[in-house]
Amino acid sequence: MIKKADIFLAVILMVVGIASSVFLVYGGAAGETVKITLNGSTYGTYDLNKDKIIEVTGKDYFDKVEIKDGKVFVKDANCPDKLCIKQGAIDKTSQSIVCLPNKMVIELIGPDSGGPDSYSS
Amino acid sequence: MAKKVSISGIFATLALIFAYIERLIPLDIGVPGVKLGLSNIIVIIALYTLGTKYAFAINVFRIFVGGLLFSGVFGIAYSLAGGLLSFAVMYGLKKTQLFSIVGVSMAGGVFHNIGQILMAALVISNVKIMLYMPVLILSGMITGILIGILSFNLVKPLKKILVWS
Repeated sequence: MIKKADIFLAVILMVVGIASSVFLVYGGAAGETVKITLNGSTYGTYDLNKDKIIEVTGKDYFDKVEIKDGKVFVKDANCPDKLCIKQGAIDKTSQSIVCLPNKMVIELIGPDSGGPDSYSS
Repeated sequence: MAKKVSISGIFATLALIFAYIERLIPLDIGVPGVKLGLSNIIVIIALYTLGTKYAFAINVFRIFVGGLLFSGVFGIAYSLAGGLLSFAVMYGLKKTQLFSIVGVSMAGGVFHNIGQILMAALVISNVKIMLYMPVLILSGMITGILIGILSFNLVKPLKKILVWS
């Protein structure tokens, strides 16, 4: 039922999958700034250390994003699958929250990956 | 030829029923795109019994009709990206004759998820969604292997019944 090439392919896929998971779990630095993108353009940037509630209203849906105790999460949304809420709270630059129906992405930016200024001088 | 067409019709209907059954099984781990891929059983069996052309037609039919019935127009865009990439990879691997049906199905599961995530990145215009890649690769492998084992056990007896003369 199983041939040599199958096992070879399985090993390659597993290595790629596990290596990228390890990078995601250990690779991220602590985030400082919350960047919310809606429909491909920046909706706003917020300080991760200041508690705040942001209403992100797209064309058909809204997401209620909450920043609390240095973490950011989606508190409430009216999209059909609610996967954005299930993704939980994030606090590292390697993490993100995505709401596909609302086309919203929440990213975290660290201290050293700011704007273009950090590369000039 | 006529027999193949009528069997294709039965397979296409079965693929839709499997898509419906899949919706009844809750499999929610918080990552968009993770699913069993039950209707892929039909596509793989068709690929091994009816041939590439028929399997491709069944695949495209189940994506469009299944999408309209169960997930809406946007769902079709995701399914189409996943379904076509997965089919191309499965066809390519099968043609090399190096891989068993389980390996072909595993690659199909993984590339279905990769196709969907590429489409999602395009829809929301943000590459950050690629962060879900590891989860989608590993979940695609697991479901693909399971579907492959099922298909392996179904193709053997079916090949005895489905004799084209």
